[in-house]
Amino acid sequence: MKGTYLGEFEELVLLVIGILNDGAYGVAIKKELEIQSKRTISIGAVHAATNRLEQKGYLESEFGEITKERGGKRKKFYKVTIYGQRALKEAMDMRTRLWRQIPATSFTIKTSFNV
Amino acid sequence: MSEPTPPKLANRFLRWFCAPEFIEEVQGDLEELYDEDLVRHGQRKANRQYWRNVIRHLRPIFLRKASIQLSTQNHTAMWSNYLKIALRNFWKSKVISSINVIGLSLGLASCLIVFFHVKDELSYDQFIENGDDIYRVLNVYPSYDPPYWAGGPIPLGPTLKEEFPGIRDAVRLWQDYDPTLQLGDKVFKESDLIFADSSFFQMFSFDLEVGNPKTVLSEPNTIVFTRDMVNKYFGEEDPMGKTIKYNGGRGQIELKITGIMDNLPHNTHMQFDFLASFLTVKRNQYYWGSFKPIWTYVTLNEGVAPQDIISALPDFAAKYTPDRVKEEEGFTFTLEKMSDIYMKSKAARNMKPLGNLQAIYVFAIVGISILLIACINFVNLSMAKSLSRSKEVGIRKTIGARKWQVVKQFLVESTLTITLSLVVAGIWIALFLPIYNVVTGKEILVKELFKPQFVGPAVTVLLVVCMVAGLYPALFISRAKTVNALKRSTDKAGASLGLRKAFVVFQFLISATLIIGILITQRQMSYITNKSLGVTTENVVAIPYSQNAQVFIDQLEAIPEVISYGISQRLPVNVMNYDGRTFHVEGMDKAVNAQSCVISGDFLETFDIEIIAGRNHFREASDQWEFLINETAVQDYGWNTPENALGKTIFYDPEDTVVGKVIGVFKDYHLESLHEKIPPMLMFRNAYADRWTRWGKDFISIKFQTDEIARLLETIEQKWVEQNPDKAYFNVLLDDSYKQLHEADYRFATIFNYITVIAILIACLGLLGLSMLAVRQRTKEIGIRKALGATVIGVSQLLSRSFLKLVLIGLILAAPVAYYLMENWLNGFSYRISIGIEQFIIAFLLTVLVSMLTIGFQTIRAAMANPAHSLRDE
Repeated sequence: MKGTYLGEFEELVLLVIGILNDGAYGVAIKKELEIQSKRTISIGAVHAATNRLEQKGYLESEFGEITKERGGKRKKFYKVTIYGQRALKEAMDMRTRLWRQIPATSFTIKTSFNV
Repeated sequence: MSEPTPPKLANRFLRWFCAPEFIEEVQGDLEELYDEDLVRHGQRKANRQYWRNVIRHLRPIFLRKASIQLSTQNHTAMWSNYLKIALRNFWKSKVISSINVIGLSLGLASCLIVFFHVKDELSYDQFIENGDDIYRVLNVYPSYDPPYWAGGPIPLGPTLKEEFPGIRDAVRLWQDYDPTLQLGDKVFKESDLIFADSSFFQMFSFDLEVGNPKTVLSEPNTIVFTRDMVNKYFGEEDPMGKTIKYNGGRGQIELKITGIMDNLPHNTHMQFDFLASFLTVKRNQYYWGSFKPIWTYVTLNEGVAPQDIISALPDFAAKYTPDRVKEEEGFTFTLEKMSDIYMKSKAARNMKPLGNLQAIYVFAIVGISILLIACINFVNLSMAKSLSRSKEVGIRKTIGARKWQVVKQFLVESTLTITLSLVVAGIWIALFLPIYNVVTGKEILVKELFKPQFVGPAVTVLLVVCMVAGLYPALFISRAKTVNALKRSTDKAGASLGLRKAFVVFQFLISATLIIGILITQRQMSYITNKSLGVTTENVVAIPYSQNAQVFIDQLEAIPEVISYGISQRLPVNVMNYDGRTFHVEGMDKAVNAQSCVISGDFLETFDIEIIAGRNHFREASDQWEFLINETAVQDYGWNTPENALGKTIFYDPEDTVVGKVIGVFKDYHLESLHEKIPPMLMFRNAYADRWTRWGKDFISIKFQTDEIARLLETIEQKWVEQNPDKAYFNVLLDDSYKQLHEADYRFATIFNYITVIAILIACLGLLGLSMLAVRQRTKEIGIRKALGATVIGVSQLLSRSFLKLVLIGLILAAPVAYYLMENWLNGFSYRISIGIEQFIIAFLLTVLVSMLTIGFQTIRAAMANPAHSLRDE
């Protein structure tokens, strides 16, 4: 369990990288996260998360081309590995499972699960 | 025109902490965001945001780990290699290394001694417990200069205690005028005998070896000895309970020894060898009229502000001393904190000479400057030397040394030099300390200086300073790019050359300031020595007055070497000062004051005091009072000319018994040191026929003419002791006592001389080292120049010019600094020289000469060298 643990922020980052598909590099991830979560995200937090996820094996990366922008620095593009996808799926499954077990009378709001 | 770029420092910071594998990604993203911010918010905000983003990357995951991995390497081997290289380099350039060590150690030693001196001066009276609650009472005479006098009437202390509930205790100290003590056949004059109130040991926390601090002085006719005095009179015997004969102003009394105290520490403003109980003094207990040297100290209760008491003292003074207040407008008492007396008191009449806060500042500044010069030398030489080792650094870096390892290596070398210098500094201190003791009159032993509580902080501070000085060249050399270092290109040195030049200028600024300083000090000191005082002190000796005076004087006159003699109450130019009085004169409503002296015999002839108007002798066997006054008195009393002053009446005492006319005016002469103005002065003869016949008969001054002073003094002593078998003999050579008045000045001048010599020596050592290195670096250039036909003179000029330019700049800057400082110093004298241009010119020439000599030897040798030798190598 410990090895596959996903923090909330990490999960978000993984998901956003999935959304961005081929264009997932630091700044893009940060912006997408801000749009999706409606909060301000520091680039430092993004870099920390992506690199940590890469160390865990959930992400793989490759550098793009050298361009004139960014002071000649290459972009580092991330992709979610199969292993990462599995972790995401597991997290989602666990949540669904939990949601399903909530009795219909317990919550007052309607969700798709309590049929 | 170029695009704004992210702050460089932030990038540098990022590169410093961030592991290299993350840098491209992080920096790229940051720069992208920066460009966006730039468009949206402008450069300032973008810069700030950039910084914020960099700082947000300070997370463990990004930090460099490389250095931690390195620590697994074998460090001991590297350290021992550094040490080996350091030692080899040290031996390889013996001259430069020893210049470095000598310079630095001299600097350290002087700085340590100055540090010690300052610390010692500031330690005065600080050991007395609750010293901040003890205050000394002063008299304030607004019209006097200085207006504060220590000492007061006898009842002052007890009355203050009664009147002010805020005053817990009062202690009076009375120094009698030259009493003698006699035990069996031992008779000594003991000027440091003091009568003290019984609570002395409760107020001042001096330790008693034997005796109860509460009761030792509570009985009349008791006395406490200091340890040294016990040894002097009793040797190994136990003195407790024994009695000793006292003979002085209070008549002849037997005093019982009730206690022994430790010798008085040197760092207190008090000075005494004996403390007798004040209760012994019976006379004048309620008399407010006499202002003798009775020092009154009070302790305040907790929470009592001294200001509250001070503001009530004018009324107190008016109540108890109405006469004094009437005579002297604004007369009052005031308090000064006991623990500040030594450094800050401005009052006259202290137990012993006080310290000088200004001199302390001067010494502290000079001490720091010397250390600075020495450190600059060290930095300069290390940097210059390291240039010739750039190849070594290049190779080290190529093989894989990291920058910090090179820094470490060079730090090892400077640590070696500094440690050695510290050891040598210890030797210097051991050598200097005896000189220091002679000069300052202190008795500080080497072992006191090496106490851990002193050496600990001092050495730590010095080491820190030195390490900083060592770090600079280490960083400088390690910064060099490997390729450049290997290419042996010296263009990098250019940047630091400016700094080194500034260092040399600064060194010579300090040295030249000191040289000008000494020249002016010397001039003032020789002015003091040679100043015509208005009296002749040469070949005059003073001895105490004798019993059977006529018999003794007849014997004296029979000695062929004796030219003349005079009898007087006080002596000119002597610390045993005149009698200050306030009285009335004809034609003035206000009371005037004067220093007065009762004389008889040929006093005026003996001291060659010149009469400029009127008579120089008193009328024979007259019971009329007749006065001689000085020129200052003529002006002060409003009589304008000496001739006009003749015949004017002086009402010398309040009962109008001592009233008489001015019969002569004598030329002003100096009573005190040249710091003090000549005060108005009076001299007169004791005309009481029947009472007070001993008044004014304290000293016999003898003018003599002989080549064998010692033998003559012996004869005089022999005759005197015959007449006064139970009294103590002493003699004062007036020439010496004049010198004593200026002891502090001579001291200052002497210390100044030593310091300056050391400062110049260090600065020259630095110059020598630098010129040696410069010559070495330019060997090839010189060779080529010579091969192409340059002359020896041409080459030496070329080499010296750059250095001399720096020395000259230092000199020019030094002139205003020195002028300002020395004007300040000279203003402390009432009689002083004025600063002339010649001192500056001499200092200028001297400095140029010394530096030419220093550089000259090197440059000429380099210029004379055969170019074939220098061009051959490589």
